Amino acid sequence: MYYRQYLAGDDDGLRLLIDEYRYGLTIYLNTMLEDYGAAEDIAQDVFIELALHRPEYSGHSSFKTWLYAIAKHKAQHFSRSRREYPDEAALAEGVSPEEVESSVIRSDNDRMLYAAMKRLKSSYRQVLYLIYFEQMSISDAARIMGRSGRYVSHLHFRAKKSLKQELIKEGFVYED
Amino acid sequence: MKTNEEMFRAVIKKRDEYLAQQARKREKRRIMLRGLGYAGIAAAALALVVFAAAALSRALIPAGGTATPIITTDTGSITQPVQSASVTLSPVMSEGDMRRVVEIAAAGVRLDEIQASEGVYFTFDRLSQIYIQTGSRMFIYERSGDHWSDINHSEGDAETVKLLADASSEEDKKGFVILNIIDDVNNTAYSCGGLKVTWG
Repeated sequence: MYYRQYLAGDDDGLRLLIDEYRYGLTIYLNTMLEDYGAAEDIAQDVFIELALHRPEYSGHSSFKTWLYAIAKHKAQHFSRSRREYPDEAALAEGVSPEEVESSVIRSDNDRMLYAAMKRLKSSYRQVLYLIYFEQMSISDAARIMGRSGRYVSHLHFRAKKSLKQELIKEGFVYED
Repeated sequence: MKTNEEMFRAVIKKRDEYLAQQARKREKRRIMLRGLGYAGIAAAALALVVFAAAALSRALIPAGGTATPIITTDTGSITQPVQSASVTLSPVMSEGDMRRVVEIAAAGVRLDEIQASEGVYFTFDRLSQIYIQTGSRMFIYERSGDHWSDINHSEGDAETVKLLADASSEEDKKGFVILNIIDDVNNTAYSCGGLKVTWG
């Protein structure tokens, strides 16, 4: 595993870790923050966290779940700061999202789905992204979001319903 | 937008800066302790006189009272009674519980006496992150409103960690509690503590 490779003293492990997770992490953070510049900065902060403090990965969940949980926590911290210090947060550079999105969201269908998701509220976007685009289980999504499995299961149901309404508004025919 | 390679270089640069900063802090502490060493010789001479006087008084008066061992931490020597405490590290901890953990791990040093930098003292209320590191474990807590959350354990069981402040015993040398504290206001990271820890 790349993280173990880094912990064993090989910096290439970190390079591979960034190659593997950077884009997905940025998109996930953007579902929370709606700000690509901030999402990219926080994704970088997550890798800095691993590089500097080398937190222990216990293996109780998948590495990706663990990594996304750290990212989610950092994004929450950022959101609080943004509320408290809006001027500083606004300094984050504007970043074009196309390159990030095209690296993870490849098919036209997915692209349309993702565009419709942008109109949903943050918690719906998060759960749909984790389950459909990152192909995580309900329990992994729950772990990342810091919620119970039951809560996320209900959230997932409501998010799908809401997404369906968005798609119908755009003239999509929904097949049950 | 940064390429992956640029992000990798930025992360490595940040890490190397951090390590260099830590090395500078260690060196500063060594120099400070060397300075304290000279002061210590004078203090030892004085202590010898006091000890001689005490021995003389004990010879004259029957002995009584309790022993007061010295606990050595990274931040210096503190004289205080032996104490031990079991602390439960939960995924989410209240402000008061976390303050207690920090105070125990700092070996009774009053938190407002720890200097972040020259003349700048930290206050608990201002902290945003606390890293509790033992020989083999790392707990990372971040402030989240009026409580602290362990970012590695979004759910799961609480763990009971026994922090044992007993420098007189050579047993239980399973590691040390080091508190790495991030002070947002001063943009400073520093560490304190150095107690032996046993797992309860």
